[in-house]
Amino acid sequence: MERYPIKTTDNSHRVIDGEAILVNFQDSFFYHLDSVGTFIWEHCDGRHTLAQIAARLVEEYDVTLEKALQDCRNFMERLVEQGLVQWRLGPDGSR
Amino acid sequence: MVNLEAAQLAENDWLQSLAHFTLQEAQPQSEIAQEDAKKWKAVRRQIAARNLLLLEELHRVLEEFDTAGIRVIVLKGAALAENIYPSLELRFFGDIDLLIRREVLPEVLKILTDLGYASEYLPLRPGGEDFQAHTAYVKHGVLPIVIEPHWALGPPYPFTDRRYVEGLWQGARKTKIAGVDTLVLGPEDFLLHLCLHLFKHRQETWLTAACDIAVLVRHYQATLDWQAFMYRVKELKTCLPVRFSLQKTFELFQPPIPAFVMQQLGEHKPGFYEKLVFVLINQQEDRNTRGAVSLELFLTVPGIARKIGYLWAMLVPSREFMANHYGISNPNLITAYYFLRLKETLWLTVKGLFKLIFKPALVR
Repeated sequence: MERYPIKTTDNSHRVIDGEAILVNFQDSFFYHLDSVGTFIWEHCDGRHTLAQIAARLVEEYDVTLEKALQDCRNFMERLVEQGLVQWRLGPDGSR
Repeated sequence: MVNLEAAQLAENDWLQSLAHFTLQEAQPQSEIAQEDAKKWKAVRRQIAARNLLLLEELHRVLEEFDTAGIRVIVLKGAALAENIYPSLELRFFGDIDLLIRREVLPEVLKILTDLGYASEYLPLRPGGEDFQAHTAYVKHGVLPIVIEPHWALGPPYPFTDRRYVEGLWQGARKTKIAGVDTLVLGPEDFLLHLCLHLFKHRQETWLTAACDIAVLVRHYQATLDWQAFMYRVKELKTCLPVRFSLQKTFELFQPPIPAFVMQQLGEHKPGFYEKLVFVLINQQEDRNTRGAVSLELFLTVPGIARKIGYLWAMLVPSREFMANHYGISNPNLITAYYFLRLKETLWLTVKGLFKLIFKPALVR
């Protein structure tokens, strides 16, 4: 079954000048994402799979699908590790 | 990744980063704009992150109030950062100020207590916070979060008159703050509030309030009803502090204040008491000296009965306040401290009068 990344509720973010500022309420750390990171982060809405986000990334930036997929995977791993994103097993919300 | 708890931000960092941002917008190629650009951008990101944390807390509080059917007007910092400044990173705020109706205060305090907040303020006498028309509740977490429920604007000039307070609610505007539907003051009341705030902090953080006034005036340039603003200022006998604040702001930022406003404020002939209050407050060299805030409040608290009430509370506070204020562990000594307090208060009054008489240049 496909997995859909979605932002957790323990954080808040604002996009300022195309770059996201994220605050994790659990540990009080905050993160600054560059424009590519912000693009991926904004698509973590529980409706896009990793492959779909990578495909969008290819449309938006000058990057191959393979590289985009790898970057998405690495970035997502970090977001999940920090508790900022979690996986859904389907777009219906089941985890 | 930065830890907010460790990132110590001060109001001064905000002002410098705001100045740098403004310069970058106006002259992006200039040498000063290029200098330390990374550093100031990082500071602005920290401000945004800190504000997000406070707004998350505000979100929680506003939702609880909404569930309880309590209406709230979000004042100052949070309202300015979310609604008036062009971006969240451009306005640092340290606490959350909310206007509520006096009659819902017990309910508001219960909600705050249930959310983990506690009062760190001991009034002179039970109910003594009514003189200041606000109280403060604090929650110690990642950052200490202070929520101040107000039921009138000020001090100084805590206008608790029912008709005026009702006007604030009637003029309030619907908005969304921290993702919740809520209210902010109408532009004219907002401006008056900021002017009184600048006057209150004229010796310390007045630059912050001056920035706020300049940004607010520009934000509401097309809709601010200056005639209505002047009507309120005159009706509330606040021409002198408002003139002081607008002049200071104008000297620095030249916001689009209509000429007739400054002219009317300049030509205003204050009454004896209005002038006396302004002079007595303004002559204080340091607002942090003992008795300064009390004198300010005594002079501006409206009505003779409330002034007498405040004086009584000042001279004869509750035994609990005395024990706490003077660190008295033996209850038998409290009575003696009442005499000490009386002597202190009289001495401060005599000193204040002496300064007033021998500084005639200030009375003009």
